[in-house]
Amino acid sequence: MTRAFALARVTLLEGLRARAWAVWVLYALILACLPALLSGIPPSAWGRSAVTTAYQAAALLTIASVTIAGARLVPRALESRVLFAVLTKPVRRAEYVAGGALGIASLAAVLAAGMGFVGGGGLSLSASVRSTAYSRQTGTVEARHETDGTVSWTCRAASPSGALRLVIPVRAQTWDGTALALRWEGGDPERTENVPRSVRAWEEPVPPEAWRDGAARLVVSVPGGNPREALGEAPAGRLLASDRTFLLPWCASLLVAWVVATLLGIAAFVASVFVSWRLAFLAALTFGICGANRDLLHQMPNVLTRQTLQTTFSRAPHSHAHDPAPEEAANWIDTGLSWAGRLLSALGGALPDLTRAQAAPTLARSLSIPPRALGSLALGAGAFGCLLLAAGVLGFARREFV
Amino acid sequence: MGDAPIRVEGLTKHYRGRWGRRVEALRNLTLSVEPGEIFGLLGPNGSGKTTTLKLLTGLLRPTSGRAWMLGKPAGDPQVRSRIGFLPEESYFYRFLTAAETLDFFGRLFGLGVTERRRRADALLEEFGLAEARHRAVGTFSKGMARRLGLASTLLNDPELVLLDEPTSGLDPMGTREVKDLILRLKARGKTVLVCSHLLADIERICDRIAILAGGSLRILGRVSDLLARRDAVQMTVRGLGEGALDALRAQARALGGEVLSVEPPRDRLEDLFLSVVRGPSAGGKSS
Repeated sequence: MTRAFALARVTLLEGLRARAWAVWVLYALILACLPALLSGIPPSAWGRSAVTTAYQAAALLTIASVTIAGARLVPRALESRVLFAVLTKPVRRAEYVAGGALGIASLAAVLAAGMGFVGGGGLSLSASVRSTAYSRQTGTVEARHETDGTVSWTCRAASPSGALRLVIPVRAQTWDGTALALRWEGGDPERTENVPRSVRAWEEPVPPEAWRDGAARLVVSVPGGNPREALGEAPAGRLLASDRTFLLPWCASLLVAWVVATLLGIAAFVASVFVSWRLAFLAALTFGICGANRDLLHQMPNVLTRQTLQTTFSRAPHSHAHDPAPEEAANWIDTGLSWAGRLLSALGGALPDLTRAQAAPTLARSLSIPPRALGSLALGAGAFGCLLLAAGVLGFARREFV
Repeated sequence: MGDAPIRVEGLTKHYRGRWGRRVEALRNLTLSVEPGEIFGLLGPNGSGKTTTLKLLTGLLRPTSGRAWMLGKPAGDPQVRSRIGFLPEESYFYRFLTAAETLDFFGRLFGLGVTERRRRADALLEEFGLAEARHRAVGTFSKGMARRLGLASTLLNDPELVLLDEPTSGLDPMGTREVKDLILRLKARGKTVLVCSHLLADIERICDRIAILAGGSLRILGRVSDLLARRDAVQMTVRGLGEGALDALRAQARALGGEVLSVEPPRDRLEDLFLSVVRGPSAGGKSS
């Protein structure tokens, strides 16, 4: 195993020195451009969009870098003939595969951790700046606070006799439109003067988009008041930065990205033993895309029915009775697309349902990954990883190096 | 025969070319390399030299025939810890430094930290790479990369050294250093198998050679035996005047010989080059 670790260390060092700085610089540039990229987003949704975009960029860069690194591991070693030097040392081929896989996993971890660090810091900073600016302009403060499955926020300035406490149960169905639960703590909630005007509007169900993901913010308007007073002792802009609950889901999301990147990297590494690295990269990426869109792929054969095609072609059903050629063409297209859908679905089905832990490409559920999903993720990824490694060891053991 | 570091019997290798066409890279090769000798495997490009080395090291599997190294079947991981192999035109990991590269190979051999460092330092010093120990290998010249390859080959103090085109890419000085190194290895009791198509390199250092062509063994024997001309004698004499030379010629004819040439001996171009580049002392030493 010492040799496998030595190979993993070299894979990590080569990967980091070859491309890590470029990936991190690119990511920092994306973060720096976030305010410009999201300039059209309403302030209430800005934080959510920023976190989602930052996460997606980090995940995509990690996955792409690691998949390319995995696909090029063997071909580059062959080009430089270092593979001959390594395999003629007392190294078993299984050790080479294990070392490569470990190296890919550690490269993915370091890349994701680096981007997580840069992204976490950058987001806190940008959220702080954004929130403060907004409160100065309109007298409205934003705060996001999430603890133990509920979102709560206290507005001391709401009433001289008591504080308004907002409680939102965070459940699976909340993004389907559960109303905010408002509760007074102290004072008489029935008295009109105790209720700020803007809060009345919240008695209506909140649109799903407004707080669809964990980074959604509650917006409290205090007409004519001092925004800082409305937040009590906590300055508005600091809430996101100082909120410890922000870090845990951020890290959990990156953990999922790391698992996906590692698996796709190893898949590309194993595929490159059999085919060219470009084909291996494309195959791994297709595999990943199929896995990510499993639900869609499963539905594809059903979606691509004659009815859908007819709707697509905007033809009335009765017109086909007098027009056999288009119907025959539609039959062929229908059959072809159905089979293509089934094929893609089968391909995607071979992947563990990693993205179900995230459930969506947005940060929505990835920021609230339940422990059970993490458990199934670990099991699925472990099983799939073992399968990949077994294929790699078998393939590599049989391979001759001309 | 039983103690031969390398023994090959009827080794044959077929590749599958384009469209499934069978390409015969090596045909029925049988030879053995004796302990402590320098054995040269010669042949033009595509003659099967590198294929033979890859079969010996387990990078390829033979179509038929068998090979043993150090008494065990070729490709055995235990054997690989006792051999050193330098592949043709190897460049190693581009972003590792020279010291890291040797440390990595030391780890593959299972050497301890102290031993790895000691051997790496000594080899970097020996191959003139001590100053470049912290430079990335990707910035090395071809000659430096080759020297690093040779250093990595000797890291485990191997009993048997396999070198594929060891002087490829080296300048005359580097070539001479490699040849001197091979001779030093022989002096230390190591067995060396050298593959090359540079005949002048091989001629001066090898004890025995085998010439391959088209995947077949064409000739095998001691260099001195194969190159010796049985029908002529060469004598190099210093301090004779023209009159003495005439007397020698007459004497040779009187004894029934035929004088083919009488001319001053010529230096080799390599020796001349080295004496010019290094200075007269080095040139004198090497000639």
